[in-house]
Amino acid sequence: MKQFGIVWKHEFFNHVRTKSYVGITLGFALLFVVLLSLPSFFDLSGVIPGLSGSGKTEETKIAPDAGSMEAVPGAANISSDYEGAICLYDPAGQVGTEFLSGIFPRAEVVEAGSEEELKQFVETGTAGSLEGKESGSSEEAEGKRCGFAVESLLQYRYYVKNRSFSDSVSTVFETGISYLYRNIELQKIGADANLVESIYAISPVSETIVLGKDSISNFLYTYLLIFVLYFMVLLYGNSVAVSVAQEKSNRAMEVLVTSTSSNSLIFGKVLAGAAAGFLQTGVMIGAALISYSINREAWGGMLDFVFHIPGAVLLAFAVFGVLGYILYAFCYGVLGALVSKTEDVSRTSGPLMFVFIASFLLTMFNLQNSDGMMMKVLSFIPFTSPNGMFVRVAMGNVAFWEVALSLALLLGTIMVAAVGGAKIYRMGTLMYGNPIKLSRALKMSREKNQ
Amino acid sequence: MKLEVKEIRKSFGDTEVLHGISFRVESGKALGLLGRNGAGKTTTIRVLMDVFHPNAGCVLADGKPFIPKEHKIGYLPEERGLYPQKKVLEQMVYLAMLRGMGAKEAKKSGKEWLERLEIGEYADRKLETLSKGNQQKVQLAQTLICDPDMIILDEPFSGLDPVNAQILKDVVREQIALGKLVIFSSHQMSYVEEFCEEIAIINHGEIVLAGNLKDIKQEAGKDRLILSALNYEAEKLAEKVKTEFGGLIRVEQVKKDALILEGLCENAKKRFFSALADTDIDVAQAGIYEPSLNDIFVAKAGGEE
Repeated sequence: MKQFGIVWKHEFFNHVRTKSYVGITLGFALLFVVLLSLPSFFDLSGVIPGLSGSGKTEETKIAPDAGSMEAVPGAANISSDYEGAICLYDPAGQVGTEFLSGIFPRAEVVEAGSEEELKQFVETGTAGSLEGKESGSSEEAEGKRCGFAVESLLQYRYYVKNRSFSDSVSTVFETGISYLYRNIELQKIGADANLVESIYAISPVSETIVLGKDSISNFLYTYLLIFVLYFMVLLYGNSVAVSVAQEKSNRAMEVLVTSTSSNSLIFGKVLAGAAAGFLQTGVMIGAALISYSINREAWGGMLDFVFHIPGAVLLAFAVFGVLGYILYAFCYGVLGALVSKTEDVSRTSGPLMFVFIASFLLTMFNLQNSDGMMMKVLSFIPFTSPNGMFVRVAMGNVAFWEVALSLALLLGTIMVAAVGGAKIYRMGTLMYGNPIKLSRALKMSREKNQ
Repeated sequence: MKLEVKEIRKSFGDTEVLHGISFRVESGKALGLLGRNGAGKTTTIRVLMDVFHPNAGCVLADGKPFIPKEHKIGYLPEERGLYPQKKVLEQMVYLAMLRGMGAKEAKKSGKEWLERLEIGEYADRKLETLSKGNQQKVQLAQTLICDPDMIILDEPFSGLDPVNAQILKDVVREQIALGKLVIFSSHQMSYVEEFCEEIAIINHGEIVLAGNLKDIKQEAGKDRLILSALNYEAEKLAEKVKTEFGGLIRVEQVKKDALILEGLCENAKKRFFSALADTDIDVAQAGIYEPSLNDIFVAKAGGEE
């Protein structure tokens, strides 16, 4: 036990004394503190939507007064930020440039005499009578051109030079002409379009009171914490394997195994990695939580859904996270003992990494279905339960017995991995040469007198 | 302490690598554990250190089962076993603490040994920045830091220049004089001859020769004589001896400048030396032949591959 303590201390300080560890831990902690303190010192209401500036009222975007838009009930609420040029070919004059300018107030609207002219304009920026016109003046508008060839209010073609991933011009246009169409049709049957629109535009006032878990608000921190665990297992688990392989490679293992038990060595390494990893995570998350609680008022409580993590969720993360890490770290330690050179570590640990990444991806894909069968299965398999059960505790409905059973299975597997791992480690640490196959190592570890 | 290794057998899978190794050594003496590469020396040492459990046989200390944890053991492995990227004293203290020392005590002892080996100024330097010889001295300091009762040195002189080798020789002699039990494994026979009263030669996993070095040498030289002459070259001297003393003496070996002879009857030695004066052989050297350890080693372990 004393030797385990010496190994643990040595390995722990090996982690925490490195410049990268100190830099990453303090750097991120400081970054969180600074970022979360910004609203207390600066007015960020223009940068962060929904954040009210100190003493300022929120500006409401109102569509400019645009003649015919006012005559179209409902259309006055439509407004797009699109900057660029919009060319309209509307032979029947059903839409009109005035209406278009109304829903695209920051765009330059031009009218083409033919669809061919529209097409040429969109493609080159100049065409026939449209020659010489600039397609927008701001940097944002540069090179942005599109056009609408309107057959009727129910049929149009949208031309665009380069379509961006977030292109919403045609959607806004379509909403606009839908209002136009409705207005005309309602007038035809003598209905009061304003009344109809106001009936359609009602929005019931509602309040949601969540008595249990709110998966919508839990989603973000659950997502973030799974990522934290993912990086911790990959970084620290791999560092255990590399550390063991290094000791074999530089033959320090020769002296170590004759000075202390292999159990002290592997347990010390694995648990020191866990402590260093959780210290790092704890400092970073702690800095963010404290900084947010101090600056919560300036944020107007808008990040409560990220930082108000229930104690049970944090406990589940700590317990399943630590145990999950320990399980994988034992496996990494064993794999490190099977190779003689650090460059062989990645090759040997590949399958284990694959298992963990698969567990991570399966959890992520099923995050929005935390009560589904897949997540239930994942929450009991020891190699996936650290992610799976944590998600169910954070977002789903889970019975106490399920948590207890999953925990027992995970603990049992860790014990098997620790005992078996220590045996393989003891045998593997003194075998040099080509990487040893795990199957062979398991067979040899079962033999007596090793 | 009297350490006895008795009939140790060790197998890996279906392959037996040690076939009944036995030797003994006691405090205040050094045992030379000799053998060719792959003969089983390191496996024997690992069994001794309880890193491997033997399939058969036992290790006894003063007649009781030897439990390494109950003894202070200093082990210097053949290949340097230290952390290249860690500071010299820091890693010495860590390894000493694993062997039961307190941190302060380890630091004090570590500094003393580094000073003693004339590398005190490197205490806070990373090991990899030191020369090969100085790294070997750090390894020796690490071996001796906990004042071990039993010292196992596997090729301690590799990488040392003559001056550093002398420092190490002095240290080893000092430790033997202090009553430490030393097991010394080396291919450099001259060092073994200098320190070791007892030797054990391992070949293909079995002891082919073990015992007191002096007795072994005497036994190997029993009934053997050495002869060289000023007026005959070795080859011609061999012809002369065959002609003059054919029934009395047999030429066993013709060396570069001397002959190794074997007496063929009971008084051969006495009769040969008295008759030698009557020949024209101008004797340069004549006497009892005592083979070198190198000769003995080659004879015992230098056979088939």
